[in-house]
Amino acid sequence: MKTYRFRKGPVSFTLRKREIELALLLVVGLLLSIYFGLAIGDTFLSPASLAALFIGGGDAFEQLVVFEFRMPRVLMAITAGASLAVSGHLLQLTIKNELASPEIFGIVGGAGVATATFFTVFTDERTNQLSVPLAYIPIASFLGAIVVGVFLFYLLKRGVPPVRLALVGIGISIFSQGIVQFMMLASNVYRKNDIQQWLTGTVYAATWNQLKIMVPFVLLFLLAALLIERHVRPLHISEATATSIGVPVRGIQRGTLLLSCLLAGIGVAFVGAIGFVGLMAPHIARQGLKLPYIWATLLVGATIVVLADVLARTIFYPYELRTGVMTAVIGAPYFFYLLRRMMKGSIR
Amino acid sequence: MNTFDLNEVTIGYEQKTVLNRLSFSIPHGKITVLLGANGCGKSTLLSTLARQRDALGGDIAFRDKPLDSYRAKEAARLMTFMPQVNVAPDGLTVEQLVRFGRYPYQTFFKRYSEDDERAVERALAFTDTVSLRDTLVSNLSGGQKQRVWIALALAQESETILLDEPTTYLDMSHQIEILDLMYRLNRLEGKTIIMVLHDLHLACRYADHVIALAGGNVYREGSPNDVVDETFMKDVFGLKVIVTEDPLYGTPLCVPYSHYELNEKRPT
Amino acid sequence: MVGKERSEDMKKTWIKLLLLIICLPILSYISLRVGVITVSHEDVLTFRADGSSQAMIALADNRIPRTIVALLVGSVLGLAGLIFQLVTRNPLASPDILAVNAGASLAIVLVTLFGFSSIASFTIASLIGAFIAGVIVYLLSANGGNVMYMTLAGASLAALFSSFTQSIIAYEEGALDEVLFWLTGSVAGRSLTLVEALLPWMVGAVVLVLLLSKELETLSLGDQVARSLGQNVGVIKFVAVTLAVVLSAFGVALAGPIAFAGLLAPHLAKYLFGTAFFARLAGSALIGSVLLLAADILGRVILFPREVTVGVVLAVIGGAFFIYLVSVRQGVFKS
Repeated sequence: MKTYRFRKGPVSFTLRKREIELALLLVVGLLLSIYFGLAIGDTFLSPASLAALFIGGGDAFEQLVVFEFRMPRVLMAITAGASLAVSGHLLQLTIKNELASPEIFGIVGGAGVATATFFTVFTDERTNQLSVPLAYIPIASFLGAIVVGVFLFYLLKRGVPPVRLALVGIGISIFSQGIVQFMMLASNVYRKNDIQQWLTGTVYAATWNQLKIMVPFVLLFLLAALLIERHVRPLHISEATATSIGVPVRGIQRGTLLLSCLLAGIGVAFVGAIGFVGLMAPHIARQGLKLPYIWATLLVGATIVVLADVLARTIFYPYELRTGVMTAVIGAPYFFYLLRRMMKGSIR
Repeated sequence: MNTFDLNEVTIGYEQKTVLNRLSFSIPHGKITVLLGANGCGKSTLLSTLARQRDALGGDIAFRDKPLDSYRAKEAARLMTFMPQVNVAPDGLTVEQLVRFGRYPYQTFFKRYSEDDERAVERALAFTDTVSLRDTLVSNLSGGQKQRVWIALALAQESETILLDEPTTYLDMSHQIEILDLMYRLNRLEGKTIIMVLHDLHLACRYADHVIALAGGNVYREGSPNDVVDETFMKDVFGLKVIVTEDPLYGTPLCVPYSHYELNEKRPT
Repeated sequence: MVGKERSEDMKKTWIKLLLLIICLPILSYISLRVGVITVSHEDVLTFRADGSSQAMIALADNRIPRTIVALLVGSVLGLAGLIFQLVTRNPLASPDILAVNAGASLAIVLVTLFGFSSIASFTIASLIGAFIAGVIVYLLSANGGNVMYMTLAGASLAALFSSFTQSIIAYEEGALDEVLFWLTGSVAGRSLTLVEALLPWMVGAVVLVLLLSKELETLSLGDQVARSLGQNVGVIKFVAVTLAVVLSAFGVALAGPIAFAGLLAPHLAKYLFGTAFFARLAGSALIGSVLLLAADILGRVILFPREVTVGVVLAVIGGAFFIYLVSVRQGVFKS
């Protein structure tokens, strides 16, 4: 394996050729999908005309379409995809199980309950209008995810092993499904649709304002994830070995859990429950590309959601599918792959 | 200086005390083996010494300082622990696994230095696993796996090595191989080795010091020759034996009677 | 002495079973009377199918069918859950967690999408959906799969199915209400014709399971032991999983996907009856019925006069109980 070593004073690290090549490939893939995201739609733009737009050319309509509609949407797909994927990555490392995901842990379920509650509580019975601005919904979703996160954190602190938290999460998911369904039955048809929309998830309505709020947080959380990565990876071997080599296991577990909840919470807050990214992305990076690193998962996750959005827009053109439908469609073959691996016994 | 000094240490689980008010020391630079019947708490004791669990009470000193006063990385540079069951995650090569041993020496900026590299090479060489470096850990045989996990511990370059039954599941030749490795580490590199072993014969042959646990406390400690005799075997294992000498090394060798013999009910 | 203890145990087992059986008519009686429309004790006693009073109509159109459906679906889910747990050797296996319910639901929503809405199409779709999910579950467990992986894979698969279901509903706004109501799991609003059509099959399947009691008990000792005792493990497993799938499919066709009944009933039965296998089997069915009836009654009173469907009640209460079991009472679900 060809490696490059870098050393200067106290700074030293090793780069492997294969990994650099794959990293470049991933970045190119993401850029390509961003291009599709910006170029495809009612008006198609060639790379040249898109480039022209960026240096101030093109007509005003194209400017509007690309910078006000498509760009926020693509950026939203990237941010949401990256945060959900990294959340899944951290969870999978902590419980040493590649099937962990924000959905399994009930974090998304919690956000769903909060969103449904928001719609139910703040709907004016007579006018069927929301009595508070729609812009508050992300706050509700995020808080819902955090409540679940705090609950899981509390259990972890009380000595419930991380693996069991996944089971607790399954319970929370089913529990929240019950509550959401009840709220949908109890509310009027508009709200029902709103809740339904959230449950599938879409980047359709992304705006620059949302991004302005979301991006700083996501960057902060992702940075924290990259910083904690070195300490989480030994947990993948075993808690005993991690302790032996000097990882402060309990602190790292708690920190990781908290961070994954924050990431998943912010990931679904603005776009709803776009599923399976947190499950697939780390897996594609680790098993498919042999890159068990957060940066790889992050790139894969972002690319998946951008592509899913592009597909959702184009497959039944002029009708648009929801992004979450597309990620589920992408998720289906993944399950068959998983099944094959489990049958071959390569997953123990 | 002793490696460990225990004073009135109680060990166990929330509901159940396993070992009560233990006081003993583990000498520095020696091979110490913990002995005892199944379920006597020797593994629990070892994992407590290895910071895997907290003691319920009492004071444990490691190198004359309270064990809990060490920061995680600081302790890891001084001691390493190999659990009984080790399963590497999928897709990890031998070298990748062994490199994890360098964790306590790394910081965010200092990812993988020349020192790290040297330590990993030494660990691979010492355990004779250099040729396996790019093999997946999951594809190794039992004996090879065990050597690789020991390499991970060695890469940590700590003076004290704790091992929980490192010879389980191995055939006799591999058992000897692993124990010889421990012996070399002790005699050539001056490492303090503390392990739990099931095989009494091999324990007596390789140990400088044994600590026998029975009835929730230390039954007896000292050199194998001082500790292992007929009464000891009767009290600790409930087994009637004849203790003779290992024809090669002169260490105690226990030849057990059948349980039938003990009750004089052996079928003829 | 041992013999005496044994017969004591047997006696206790029978008493417990009897108590469970007694619960059923009591709960059924309550179920007939409780609800928005008042039904008096006399109404229940003098019930005639062609009666014209409000109470009679309520009984004929609502209370009697839903009580019967709750009894049936409960026992069917309880049995299916027990079989899944035995065959997969996974204490968390059940139609809901292993995606069998979700598979059946998706299939039903799909056929509704294509305009089928007859009882037969619902049932057939439910069977096909449950069967596909059942096959996946069987494959997952065939290789002596790790319990944790099986559970998480099942839960993820269920999430996948339900996200397809949700997507379809999102595009079929017209059908939304009806399907949604069905999806929350409810025993109300089922006509007796549906019950009549399915009843013989359900009873047949339940009887078959009870007849297979001995084989299932042997299987519960593990593949290797069962094989060395001379059992044709492959065949028995296949038959057992098929039965469990069929049972859950009937349950879903009748009442929609109902969570936790199939998971909790076998555990409560184990808690009550320990190792007495036949009692555990029968107990799972009985406890399933009790759970569903009780949850349905609770759903009618808890937010009176609004009705909460039995599926929601079980998801919430069962969910909380499940979380308690796996986090606090860790011994219950040792993996």
